[in-house]
Amino acid sequence: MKKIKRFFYSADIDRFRFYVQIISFGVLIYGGCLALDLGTHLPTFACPFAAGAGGTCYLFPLQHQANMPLRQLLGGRGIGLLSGLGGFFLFFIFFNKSWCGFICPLGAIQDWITRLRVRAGIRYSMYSKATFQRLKKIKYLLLILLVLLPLGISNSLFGLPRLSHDFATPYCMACPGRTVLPLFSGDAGQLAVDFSSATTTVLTALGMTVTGLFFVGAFVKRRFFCFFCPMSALQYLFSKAGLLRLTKDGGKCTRCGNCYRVCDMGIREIAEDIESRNIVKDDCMMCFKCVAACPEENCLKVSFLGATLYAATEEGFFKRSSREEKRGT
Amino acid sequence: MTGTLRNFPQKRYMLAVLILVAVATPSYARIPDLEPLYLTEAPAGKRGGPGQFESEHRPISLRRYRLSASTLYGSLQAFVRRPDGTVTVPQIEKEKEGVTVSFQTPFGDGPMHGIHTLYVIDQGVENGRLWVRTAKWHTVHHSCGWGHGYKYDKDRILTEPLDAAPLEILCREFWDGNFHSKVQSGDRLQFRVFSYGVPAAGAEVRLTSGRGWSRRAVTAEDGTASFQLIRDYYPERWQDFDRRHRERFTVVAESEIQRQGRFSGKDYGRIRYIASIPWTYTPSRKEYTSSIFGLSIGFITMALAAAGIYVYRERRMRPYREVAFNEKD
Repeated sequence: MKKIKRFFYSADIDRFRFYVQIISFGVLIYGGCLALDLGTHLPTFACPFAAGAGGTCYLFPLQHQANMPLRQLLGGRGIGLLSGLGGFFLFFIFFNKSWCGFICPLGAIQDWITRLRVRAGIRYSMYSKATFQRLKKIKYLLLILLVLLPLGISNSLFGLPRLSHDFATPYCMACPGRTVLPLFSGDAGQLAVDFSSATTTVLTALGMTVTGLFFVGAFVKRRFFCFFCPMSALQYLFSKAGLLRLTKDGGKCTRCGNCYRVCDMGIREIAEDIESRNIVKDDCMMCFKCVAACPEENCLKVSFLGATLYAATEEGFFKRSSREEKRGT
Repeated sequence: MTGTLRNFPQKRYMLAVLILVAVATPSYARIPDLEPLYLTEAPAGKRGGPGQFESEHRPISLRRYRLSASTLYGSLQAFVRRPDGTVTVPQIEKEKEGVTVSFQTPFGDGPMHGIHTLYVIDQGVENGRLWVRTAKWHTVHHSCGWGHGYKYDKDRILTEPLDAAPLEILCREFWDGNFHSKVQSGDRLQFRVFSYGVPAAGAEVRLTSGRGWSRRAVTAEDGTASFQLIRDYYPERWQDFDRRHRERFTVVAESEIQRQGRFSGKDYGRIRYIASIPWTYTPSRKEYTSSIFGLSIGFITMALAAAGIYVYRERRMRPYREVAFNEKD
């Protein structure tokens, strides 16, 4: 048993993640070609605009379901919304935010762009602490808007006139997943501006602007888009109930800062917070790079229902470091 | 007035010739062609009223359709093929406004979720010819709230010809795996004509759009005929354009065979089969989207963002300055 533990704890989690991402990408982008359908409640970007997708991102049905009169929403039809949320929760609870780090196809694309940047020898950017605190609120704002705007189609909100039906899926119109993911199934049709109305013109033009920023941003900032992702915000609302956990023993932390330096999202708390046991923050994507970079015995741990799956060990740290040195990375 | 009086004897002569020709012609050729039997949405509360189109997104528990034909022989037969393959008999009511056919579509996901196909058959002998007219109607009983679990279930998505239908037009390109109508103007549609479940070669097929545009074709050996829909939606002002605008088209197939028999106490020497099926189409996406604009916005954003980042990084670079100080100071 000890040998098995040592083997796992010394494993290269980043390499494991790379392969999981490739498999997940194949399932979510091409799964439909194998008649695979994981449903419409996935806590990750599986885009319904991509023909042959193996499932659908939950934000899509959430926006659809929000488009109903409040009276119905609070009545029988609201059960549909609740059951949808329940489906999302059931998918989410097992893997927690590792849906972002291991499964999200848009996240995988950003990681592949980062690999390209590293090969090209271009340095990356980090946000300052103040900018980080300011920008992290955007994803919550987007989450609120993606519910409020469709709700405003069937209801007069704040005394305002009802919105056009073109606001039915406002977030999808601006999401880079809609424009980028269909490209992998040979469909470039979403890289366009929809001139059918003023609303769709603005939203799809915004979508193309975000797509442009997505590629440039991902090239200079690791996981650039994840910082603004409303799916990440929605996940964090349920994160505390997740069965997969990332915990920290503050007493063992020496504040060496390794975990912060390797964090793709640039979360400072992972190094600075020695009080919290549950160290999953709202921007965390549970990639577990921090665990791999931690040299302190059992300081950072990944557990599922209390059973440790992966933990920081001195031996593991040095093994991984020597492997990286050999690879020249 | 003078001219009319002068031509009067000539007109009488021509009329006499026409009567002679008509008497000398075989009896079946004298019968004016009966119009096909059509089904249309009948008033049914808020939805499905005249001039409206059924929505494949909003299920209703009772479906009512009106039979439109100036002549009916009265020997009406009707049946509904449900999504689970079972065949039921709908209710036929003769009202002041005409004949209506109705059937229940129980709410919710399950065996009734999907395509219901209504067939109404009217038969009668007139002047030695048996007229067999079939009106077909597809109704999509679906709500996105029930999910798209049948996406890859061919038995549920695709419809088959019915062996009991005298003449039937089949098209498998009306809806996609999500039960959403997908026909757009400019699409090429392939139809197959079957007679009692067997491909009908040599049948004349006519497609007529709601705006009066029409095309004809004759079925090949395997009963196929294809048409490319016209693009015919061009409002005068851009503001009036509605990408959800729906237009009806109707496909009619006719076929005649020589066969002697007796129906309702009347002898006939030929049988003429007529079948109809309506469906709707929306404007082509190509009419209102522009990839040139989309890509231009994307590339301009990328160029500006990349230039901005480059300039920002350059400005933050400080030239190396050696700090020298005298230890004695």
